[in-house]
Amino acid sequence: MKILSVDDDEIFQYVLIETLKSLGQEDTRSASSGAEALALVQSEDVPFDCILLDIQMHGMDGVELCQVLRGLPLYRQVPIVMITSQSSKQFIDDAFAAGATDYVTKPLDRLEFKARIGMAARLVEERQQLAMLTRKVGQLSDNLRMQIEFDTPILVPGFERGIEYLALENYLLTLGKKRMLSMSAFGFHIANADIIFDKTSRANFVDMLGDVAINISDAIKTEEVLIAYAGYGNFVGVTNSKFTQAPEEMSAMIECGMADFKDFYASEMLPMPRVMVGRLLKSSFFSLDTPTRILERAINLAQTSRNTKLSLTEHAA
Amino acid sequence: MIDYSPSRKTSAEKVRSETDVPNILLPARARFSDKLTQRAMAFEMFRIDFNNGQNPRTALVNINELAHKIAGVAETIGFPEAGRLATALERSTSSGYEQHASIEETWRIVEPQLVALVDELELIMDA
Repeated sequence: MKILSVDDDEIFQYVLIETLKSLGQEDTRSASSGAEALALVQSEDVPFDCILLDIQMHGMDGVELCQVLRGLPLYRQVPIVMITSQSSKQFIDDAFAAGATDYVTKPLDRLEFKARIGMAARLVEERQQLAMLTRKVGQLSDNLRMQIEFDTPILVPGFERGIEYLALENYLLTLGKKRMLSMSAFGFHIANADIIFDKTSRANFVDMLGDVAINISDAIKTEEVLIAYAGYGNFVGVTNSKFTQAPEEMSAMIECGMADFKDFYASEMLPMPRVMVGRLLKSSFFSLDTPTRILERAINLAQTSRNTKLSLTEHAA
Repeated sequence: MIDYSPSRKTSAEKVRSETDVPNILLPARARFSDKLTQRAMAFEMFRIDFNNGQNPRTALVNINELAHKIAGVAETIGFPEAGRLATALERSTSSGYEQHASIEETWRIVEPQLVALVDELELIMDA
């Protein structure tokens, strides 16, 4: 992996680079500020595969830099790991909302760091294989160009408030069980996603997810929520426990918004996506579980919810 | 409740020997040690600035930034106690603002922690 590490402390930079080398990651570059990092990113012919960011830096801090990097098309999906001594919830929230993939706290624990870098390396490898396949297949067909399966949790293009499912899991793991008690989750299930997946191209399926994502985004009356697409036609959001919006209200708003796309789906001979919204799940009820279990439970609740109206009839032949 | 007080560990537990630190990190440990005198002096200067009423907020910010640098790396290169004390100091200097405590209230917590950290840095220098 080609790794860029950004930290304004020269001793920590040294420790980080040497630790990476000892883990077999020799292709590393370092920058001591956000401005230097951006200059490096823009001057490199081959983009970095993974970026490690300190949060507390002079000038542009790590969260701001993460946001700027995510705005660059080449760095929309590159794993960004925050490495910081800041462990308060506000810093963790800000980092993931800015697009961080993972969060590691200093002091550096070699074993933990090895696991996190290993995770980033696997992610990079999967994407490189996909890119290679895409180049081989060229323009043959949409289905082959977009190698997503029905169960693939993807970063939905154009979904500004969305983050990767892996990042959402890492967010909860970083918060840990104790701080999870102040969190809630809710799920959205596209009841006929499997039918749409089978009837149309991968590109159209991703576009459909984008339509649903935009309407989910519009239906949620708070900015303080992290949402990800989890695969199988499921979205899941995490927010603080003060969130009280009723699923019926969100469901009605999504249905209303989706109605704007009715003609398009009819012209494509596709059924309208039917979005079911699960009730809000407070973390205190299952505190004995691993923090990420809340995501699965929220999705299960959406899958079994009855709040969607079935009035939008399917247009498929 | 996090214990911010200096621990009762022995010197050997507070400062790990060079042989316990991976070889690849020894240059970082040496560089850290080279900077100890300068950093201990800087902490003392910020403390004097605060107690003399010379821009106390800036003094707190400077203490926070210096503690941050030590907290991030000390334990990894074999100075766990210095790392622990620096982490506590860093948290206190930033949480004072987050909790809207007065600067005097913050200082009442920060000053003994700062003294404990400087003592620990001096202990490392003497080792």
